[in-house]
This record gives sequence, C-alpha cells and structure tokens, in this order.
Amino acid sequence: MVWFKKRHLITGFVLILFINVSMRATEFDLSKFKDFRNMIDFLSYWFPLNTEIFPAMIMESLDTLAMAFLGSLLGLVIALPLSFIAARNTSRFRFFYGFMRLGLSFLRSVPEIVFGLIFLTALGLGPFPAVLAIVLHNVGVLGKLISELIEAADDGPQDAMKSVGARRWIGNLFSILPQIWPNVLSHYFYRFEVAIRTSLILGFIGGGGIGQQLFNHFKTFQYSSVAVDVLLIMIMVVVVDFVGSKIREMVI
Amino acid sequence: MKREPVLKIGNLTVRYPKAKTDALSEIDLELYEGEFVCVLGKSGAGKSTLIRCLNGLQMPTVGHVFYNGNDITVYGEEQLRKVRTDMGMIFQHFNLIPRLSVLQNVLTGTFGRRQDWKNILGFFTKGERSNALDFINEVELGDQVRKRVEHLSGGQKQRVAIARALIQKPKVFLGDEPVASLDPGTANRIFRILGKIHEEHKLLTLINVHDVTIAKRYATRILALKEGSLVFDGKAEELTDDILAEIYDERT
Ligand SMILES: Nc1ncnc2c1ncn2[C@@H]1O[C@H](COP(=O)(O)OP(=O)(O)OP(=O)(O)O)[C@@H](O)[C@H]1O
Ligand SMILES: [Mg+2]
Repeated sequence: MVWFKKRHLITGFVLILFINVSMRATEFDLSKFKDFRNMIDFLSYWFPLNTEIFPAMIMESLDTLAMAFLGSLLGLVIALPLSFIAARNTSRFRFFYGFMRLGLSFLRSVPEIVFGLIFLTALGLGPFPAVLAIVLHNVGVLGKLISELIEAADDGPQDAMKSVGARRWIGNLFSILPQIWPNVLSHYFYRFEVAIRTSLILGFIGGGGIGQQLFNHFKTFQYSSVAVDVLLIMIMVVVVDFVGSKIREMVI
Repeated sequence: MKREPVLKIGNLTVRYPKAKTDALSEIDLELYEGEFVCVLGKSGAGKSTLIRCLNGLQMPTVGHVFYNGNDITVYGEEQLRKVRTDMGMIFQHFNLIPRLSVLQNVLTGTFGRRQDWKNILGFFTKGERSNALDFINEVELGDQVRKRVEHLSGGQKQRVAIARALIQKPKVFLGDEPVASLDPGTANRIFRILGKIHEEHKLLTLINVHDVTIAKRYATRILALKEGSLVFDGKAEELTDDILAEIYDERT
C-alpha cells in the first residue's frame, strides 16, 4: 500500500459522497433498463429511412452550416481586435483592459440559448437571430482565448518591431499575429463545431435549419425522418472536423 | 573642434519594479560616431538593461539619455519612434517575425518610416525591394531570399536580423548578445560581418558579448559592467587579466 496515504482515503470518501448525492439528484437508476425492449422497439421505427426528404433536409443542413459558419466567423472577426485590448501586454490603458475583460466575461456568461430566446422574441423567428446569438457568445469565448494566446506570445519580436520604430499597433500585429495564428485557427474550428451543435438547439426554439426540422419530426412522431436528420447532422460534424484539421495542417 | 557624442548617458539608474537593488546605478558615458564598443560583464551585470536604455526600450528610473544632444527620456511615443528608426538593433534570440520570408522580414525594418496602410497591405516600392535585396546580399544570404525564417539556422537568422537593422540606414547599431546562442565559428562569422559593416558605414556600434577574445579583436573601446556599475572603460590593450578576473569574479 505504498502508493496510498491517509489524504487519499479522505479524497476518495468525499468523491463517493458527491457521486452519491449527484445520483440522487439525477434519479440515476440502471434498473430502468429492464424495459430495454422498448428502446429497441422505438429505434425500429427509425427504419427504413424516409429517403424522400433527403434533398430538402440537405438544404436545411446547409442552412445550419451557414448559421454556424457565419456566427463563429463574425465572432472571430470581432473578437480578434478586441482581444488585443483584453491582453495585459498589448492593452494601452489599464481601464480599457479591465473593461474589455469584464465585457468579454459577461458575453461568455450568457448562454447562447438565452441570447437566442431574446433575439428570437425581439426580431422574430428564423436563422438571423440565431446567428446573432452565436456571434455574441463567440466574441466572449474567442476574445478570452485569443487574449490569453497574446499574453503568452514571445515578446522578442515585439521588441524588434519597437526598435525599428514601427507604430505600436502595427508592431503588435506583425509580431504577435503570426505567432498565435495556428492556435487561433484551431480555436476557431473548435468553436465552429460547437456552433453547429448550438444552431441545432437554437433550431429547436425556432431558429430554423436542420435543428428545427429534427424537433418538428420528433414532436410529430415521424421517426423515419428523424433518422435522416440525425444522419445528416453526424455527417456534417465529421466533415467540418476533417476539413478543419486539414486546414490547420496546411497553416502550420 | 571638439566632437559631440552621438549618445550621452548621465547618472543613469534603473531599478526594476519589486527589485531590491539597482540593475544599473549611476552610469555616466559618452559614445562617439565611429566607435565599435563592446560591453562585457557577468550574467545579470546589467548589459541588456544598458543597451535597452539607449533606444528607449527601457526607461531609466533616474538619469538621462541624450541622442544628438536631445534628452530622449522625456520623449513621447511618436518622438521615440523617430529616434528608434535611427538605431538598428539585433538580439540574442534574433527576434524575427515567424511565418515571414527572409525578404519580408528585412522589409519590416522600414516600418518606422513608412505609412501604416502601406505597411499593413505590404506595398513596397521597387527601390525598397532592391534595397532589401542589397542588404540580404551584404549579409551573404542572397540564395535564401524567399525562404521562411523558421527554416534557417541560427547564424542565418542573425544575418537576417542584421539586414533588417541595416535597411533602417541606422546611425547607431545596437546588439544585445547577438552571438550568445551561436557556436564559435558562426559567432566569428557574424562579428566579421559586423566589423565590415562598421568599416563601411562608420556607425556607432555597441554590442554586448560574453566572449572576451571577440571583444578584444573587434572593439575600439571596451566597457565592463559589474553589478550595475561601470567598472572598466578603455581600449582593448588596457584590459588586463587582473581586471578581467575582477569583472568575472575569478580567483587565481
Ligand atoms: N524585466 C525585468 N524585471 C525585473 N528584473 C529584471 C528585468 N530584466 C532584468 N532584470 C534584472 O536586472 C539585472 C540586470 O539584468 P540584465 O538583463 O541587464 O543583465 P545582463 O547583463 O544582460 O545579463 P545576461 O548576460 O544574463 O543577459 C538582473 O539582476 C536581472 O535579474
Ligand atoms: Mg542580457
């Protein structure tokens, strides 16, 4: 028992306690699986796939893709300059720095679905409010991540740009952006992927796209269409992941 | 007629925030056109701090730095930028801009004198390009013009940095341990190039080195720092073994 100390025993005890409390709170109950046949019956309604709706659902998927792409890309475009203000080493005034940090963490703390509910109510149903919701949340998330990359950047090139007499923001841009660019891209592609899942959820509340179709098919018991929706969603996520990693490879 | 110093330092004292002792204390110094000055000293003696005060990368806690008779410690950012365009600087870790080619890196040396939008968009005149190529040839990198700088060896990177400093058409050339991370052969080659440039352009050159033999071979004047104070200022011949032992704390 050389690996174990009394401290570990206490940690283990506390952990078991938390697991127990959480199981009660979530009504965790494996015995419910004794009706497992129901599940299989249910899944059997999914087949054969409703192939008729494929073309229309592909178009809906592309809508979802567009929402996620636009939302995350605009998020990046807005977050990039802001993150230079939110980074300690490039921010000019402490006041702006603190203010920007606070603003970004506020944007992050509001879940997309909350922004979605607000915009969908204010601007009406459809993909546009959903895009706005994704943009706002992503400005918060990407702004924080990128400002941390900026703070961790090697300051040697910054010294070099200062000493050639470059204006401050130009110097920062040239010395920092090339250093952080590959990591910025990988953060971006991850956020793009997350945005696909988000736009599905926003579809449930009226944001359009394949998410909304999935929700409608499910509510009206059209399980063979649900199967088509799910299949398309899976393909979409895998493709985006693949393309993202290829682009990142090319950049490095 | 008495020559005016290009750089003059008066009562220069630097204490970093939270430090218990001064990194530099009460340094007085006059540096003249055409001098090749090497600065010796143990690690932590204050060599980098001294050199960074000369182009305003570091502001003194007490004291003044005069460039052509003007006190640059009272300068604002814009005036400081003008001063820096007159001073080329190279560094121990080269501090090149990653992801850019040799030519592109050298062109960034012109940033201090050009309009921002031209810098951002990368508009360079034929003259500026051929200038850059001339300096790349001068540092014997004519065959690597389009190569990305990450793919160069340490010695090649330092030569790119030298070309980037030269395209500034500097009046002062500063080097903060430019050969400390290079092997002796490469270090000698770098100093041969620096010596040649000094011959041609008669710049005031000021370089930190660890290697006493190199300093003795190239310097017209040697300075030595110890614990932030100037302990030697003279010609190479005057630097005796006793003084060296004192500088480096060696007992025989
Ligand atoms: N940014 C900084 N913040 C706090 N202290 C610093 C900073 N830079 C240098 N110092 C301290 O100031 C003193 C002088 O440092 P400096 O870098 O000028 O020495 P150096 O002679 O260049 O040494 P080396 O040969 O290791 O480069 C050292 O004690 C160092 O720890
Ligand atoms: Mg140093």
